Amino acid sequence: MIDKRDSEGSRPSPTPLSDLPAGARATLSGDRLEATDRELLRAMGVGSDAPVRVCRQGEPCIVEVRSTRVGLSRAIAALLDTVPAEPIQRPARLTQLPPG
Amino acid sequence: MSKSVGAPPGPIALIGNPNTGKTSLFNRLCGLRAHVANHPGITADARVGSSRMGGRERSYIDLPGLYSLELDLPESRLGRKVLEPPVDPSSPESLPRPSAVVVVVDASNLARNLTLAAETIERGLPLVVVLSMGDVAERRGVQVDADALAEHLGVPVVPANPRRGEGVEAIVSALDHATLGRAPESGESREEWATRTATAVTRREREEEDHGTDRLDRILTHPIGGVVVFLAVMAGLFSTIFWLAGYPMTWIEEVFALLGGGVTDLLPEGVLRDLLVDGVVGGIAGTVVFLPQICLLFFLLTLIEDTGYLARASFVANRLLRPFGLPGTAFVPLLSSHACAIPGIICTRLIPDRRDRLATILVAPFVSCSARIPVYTLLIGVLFAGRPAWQGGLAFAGCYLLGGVAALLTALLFRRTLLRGRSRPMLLELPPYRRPSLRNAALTAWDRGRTFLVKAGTVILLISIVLWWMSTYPGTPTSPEVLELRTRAEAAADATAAEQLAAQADRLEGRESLAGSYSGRIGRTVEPILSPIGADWQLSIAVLSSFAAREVFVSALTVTLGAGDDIDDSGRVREIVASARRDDGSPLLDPAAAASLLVFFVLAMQCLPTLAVTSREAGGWRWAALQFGYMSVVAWFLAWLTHGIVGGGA
Repeated sequence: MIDKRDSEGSRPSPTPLSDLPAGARATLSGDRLEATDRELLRAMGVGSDAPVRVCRQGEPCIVEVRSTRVGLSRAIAALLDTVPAEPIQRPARLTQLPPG
Repeated sequence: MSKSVGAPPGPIALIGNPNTGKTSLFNRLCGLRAHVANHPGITADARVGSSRMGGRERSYIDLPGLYSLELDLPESRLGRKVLEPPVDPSSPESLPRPSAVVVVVDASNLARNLTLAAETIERGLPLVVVLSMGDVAERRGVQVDADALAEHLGVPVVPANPRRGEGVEAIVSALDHATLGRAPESGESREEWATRTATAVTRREREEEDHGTDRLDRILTHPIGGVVVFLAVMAGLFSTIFWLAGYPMTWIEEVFALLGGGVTDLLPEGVLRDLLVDGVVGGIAGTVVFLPQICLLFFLLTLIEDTGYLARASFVANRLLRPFGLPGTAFVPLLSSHACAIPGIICTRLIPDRRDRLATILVAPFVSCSARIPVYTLLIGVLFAGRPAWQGGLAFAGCYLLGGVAALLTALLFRRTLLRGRSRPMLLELPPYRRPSLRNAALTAWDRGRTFLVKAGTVILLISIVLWWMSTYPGTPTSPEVLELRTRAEAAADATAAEQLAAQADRLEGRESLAGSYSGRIGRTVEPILSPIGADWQLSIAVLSSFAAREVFVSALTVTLGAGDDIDDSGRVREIVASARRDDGSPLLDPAAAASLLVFFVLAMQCLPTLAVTSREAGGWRWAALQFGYMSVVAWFLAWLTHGIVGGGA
């Protein structure tokens, strides 16, 4: 399991929206979008501090923001930073041991 | 402090986020008394209409759904143009300022919707707020206190369900009490104000997660399942359009045939009769016949859009179209272009990015429209005469495929050259799934059909009259051969033989007249350009005539070949064309010529009304000229290649 936390370990550090699993809840904390996309998203209610729930991950990434669903291309989802409400839990990956 | 000003008689603007039920409200208010209003320089359109509800005649402007008035998008620009005082009131492009605004807000997402309300309040117009989507909010455990909201905003707030017609009369009554609202105070952003207000008036009874919608979304946007559903829906849509529209199209043809016959019987032989029958009635029939397809297309598309599926389908289409530089939102315009490129190009208003939009407009006419069907039928019929039917069917499908591939590859070429630039990533609101409204769909179909008739019908009618004039004048003296045939017809003892001789004389006279007309002269002049693709002067006349509208090719060719009254019998037309000869005695349409002309018709830009619409939608005649130029060059080159390959192999 991977738990992304900041250096102090007190709260989860920003995670790209595209990294959140389906069903995860998070709050948008920032973005690296172009101004036109940022303005449109903000007008659609997907701005900083907006609470989101990931309904579907992938292409498209579908999120629910205050009862409204918005479909985003993965390229946009990857540029949206979120603070997950709960630590992200992923299945542990098998680590390949070095030969010998 | 808000000031009660009441709404004086004058236009009322309807504004709101997409999918709030704003257009349903407009349809409830105005019904059939509405039409699309285009605004110069703006590629979004508003509908205007009037209503006598509440004992008063009022006019309404239905603005397109928009998220903000501040964005650099066509719908936002139109919103600003309508709501803000004109910079130059004397300009003919300036619009009358609305006397009041109805802001439709979604109760299930109040904070976002109130941001737009704040922008509207700041424009200083009296307003009424309509609280819609209450049923959706309730299902999600959200309750909005309308009275508290009215208190906060300082304007009347009316809960309503426009889709079901609930609360519409209350909205009309509230317009008498429209007031200037309370704008956010200084130091507070609109978003902060909207969130604070929404929080104050909203009670969330429970946190509801809509897992049913999650599951449907996963299926409908799945990389494989989503494509399967998408192809099935599109196949169903088109089969229905072609199957259902066939009936009214036949009726329309029959009505116009009767009308033409009536005018022929009523008027004496002469120029006026020819003008009315061939120019006016023929021209109107040529346009009106496509009306059922246009109306059905928009009726079904509106139904699909209303269910909430269209937004999901855009993401599926995005996967298929993006490699060619087109956005997912281009699929509706490209789809519509199968019926007719005109509504298809108008549909590109759905595409937010200008480069994406231009690329779609430029390639949409490559998609095989229904006007090409008669031409395909004739040429494939000649090309595959006596062969198994499946071969002709395959060729038919091949034509559609060739047009589609040409559209995609050309789009890619444009996006890498003339329209180079970053593709805007897909970003769409996904409306809730719901039962579609037949009333809304019917009103949209009516509206689009009427717009098509007015815009395209006038141009086609004008072109038809010009074509008729060019193929009738300057007129040629009757030849000795025709005179001899007539003399023989008069002298014939047998009535049937006399009739046949007279008909033969009429056909020969028609052919000679056309050959000597302006069209005929132009046909001979351009013959050197079209001969490499297998066209002689007769085919050149038909090809040239079809630049006005493709379907004219069949009628022009039959007139050129002197088919006379047989024009309505497609089997007979094919026989005449197949057996026709060139001046040197060789077949008019050998396999090489038929195949190359088929390729030419798949790819050439032969529709003046479409060029007119391209010019208007793309923002200038240079785009229409470019479209005409490259499509003609591509069509000629590939037709020439086909002629060489088929002719060489024959």
